[in-house]
Amino acid sequence: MTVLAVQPVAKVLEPGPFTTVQDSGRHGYRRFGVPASGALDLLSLSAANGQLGNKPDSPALELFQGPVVIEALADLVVGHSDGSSLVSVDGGATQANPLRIKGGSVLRLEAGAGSAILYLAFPGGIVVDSVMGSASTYTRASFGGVRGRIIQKGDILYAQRDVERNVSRREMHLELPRHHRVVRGPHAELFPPESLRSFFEAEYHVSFQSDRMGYRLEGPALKGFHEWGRVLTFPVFPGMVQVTPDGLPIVLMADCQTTGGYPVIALVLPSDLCALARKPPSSPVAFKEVTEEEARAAMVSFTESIGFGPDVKH
Amino acid sequence: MRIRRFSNVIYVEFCDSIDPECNAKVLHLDGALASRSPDWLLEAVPSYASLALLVDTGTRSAGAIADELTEICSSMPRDPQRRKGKLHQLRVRYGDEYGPDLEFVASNAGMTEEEAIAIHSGREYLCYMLGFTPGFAYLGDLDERIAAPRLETPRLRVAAGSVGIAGRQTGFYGVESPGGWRIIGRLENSTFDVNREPPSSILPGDRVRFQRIG
Repeated sequence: MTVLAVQPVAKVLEPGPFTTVQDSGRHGYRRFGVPASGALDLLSLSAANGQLGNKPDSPALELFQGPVVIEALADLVVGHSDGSSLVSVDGGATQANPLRIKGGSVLRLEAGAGSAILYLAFPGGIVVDSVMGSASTYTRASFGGVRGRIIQKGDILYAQRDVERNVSRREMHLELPRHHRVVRGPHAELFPPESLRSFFEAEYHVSFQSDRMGYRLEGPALKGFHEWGRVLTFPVFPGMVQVTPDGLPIVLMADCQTTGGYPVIALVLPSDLCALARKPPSSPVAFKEVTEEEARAAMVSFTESIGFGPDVKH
Repeated sequence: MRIRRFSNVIYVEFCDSIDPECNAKVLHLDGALASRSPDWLLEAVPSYASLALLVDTGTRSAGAIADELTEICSSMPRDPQRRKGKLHQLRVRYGDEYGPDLEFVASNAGMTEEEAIAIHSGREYLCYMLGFTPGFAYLGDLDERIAAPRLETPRLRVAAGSVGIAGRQTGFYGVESPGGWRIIGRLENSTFDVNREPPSSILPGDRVRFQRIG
């Protein structure tokens, strides 16, 4: 493969509410208190990169809702992750994906009905300084991505201009399933049976107070847990469902703290965590318990569909 | 010892308390796994009383992994020698704007700020684990005379290097973050740097002594 020069490919005109550079995450540093970060929805990251023939875990823009508006600084091809998103070039709507843009043209991208988060991939992946082996932005400690922060107006994005590669185009028609598969968590048995049952039967809604650290859920409070303050600080991971003293669950996401002291009632399977991450605030959420064997099979097929091991250093 | 698996996470739990002997077992297993680096192990995270393992369930069955862990643990000495971790002398500015809760900690303990500082800097601590946010070090055990409850409402911003107290734990923040510990001082030099490998100069099993400056 010829190495192509990295160059400025786009200028950000409108950054959107919370746009960051993310890849598959930072692995091997949790022991130092460093969260993995990385794309909340690895399946969509992989799909956006696939449109361009990039490695599936290449750094891309992750945007919440949008709209994000960028100006191409050169003739450029980009890929995005969701067929339902609203895309226009110089004001004209387009469904093309990958999408060729002339230098000087303006691309506008906004989430559609299929997903609240979108990925925008550039040829060869966005180039930023690698921090602890990853391009992912962790805004809370201000490292990774573009200067450790969310994308701002005027930021210049660097990538390769155009690369002919073997594209693995997959049409992504995302759905927002009501149920997300879980296995019981380490503290499930400390909840009374009726409380545990209510967790599996309840319908929750994604709270507006959700972010890359965790999606808070609103719904019936779980009662009867009496060990508050007695759970010894222990390592937690994305997908774990913590219950806080108000009885409400928080689903930990990619930027979650590495250790926690709240009980964990369940773990959302990595594949189903992607679907949960796509849900905009106030969407309904429910859980479905599966066996460890089903969880393992789901993990194998998830790894296959994203094209890389989700927790593996690359 | 108990091995519990939850999808792609395995916990090897040695006890249920903050105890140096128990923590030594956690760190011993962590070290043993690091030198073996089995193909199913993606990441290991030591904590007070358990070692969490992120595993590749596609590579090996849960049963086979549990068998291997049991085998490693059974060949561990009953009371593993506590690794004589590196001793760090960390310089701290106590009180004033660096330690807004020193006054509370002292009055809560019924003593002067000077006495509280002398007690805090008067013993060697074990670093049990790093966690919560990048570089946050959990140290113990704190002299119970200056133990203090967490803040009822956590601060939105705690400066990097802030030294805090929560119950019988003491510790410090590696990076600026929200936090609920009682802040009594601030390290002169940060222990966390993303451009260093490893990024934290304090590691689990290391020992820390605070030295008052200013």
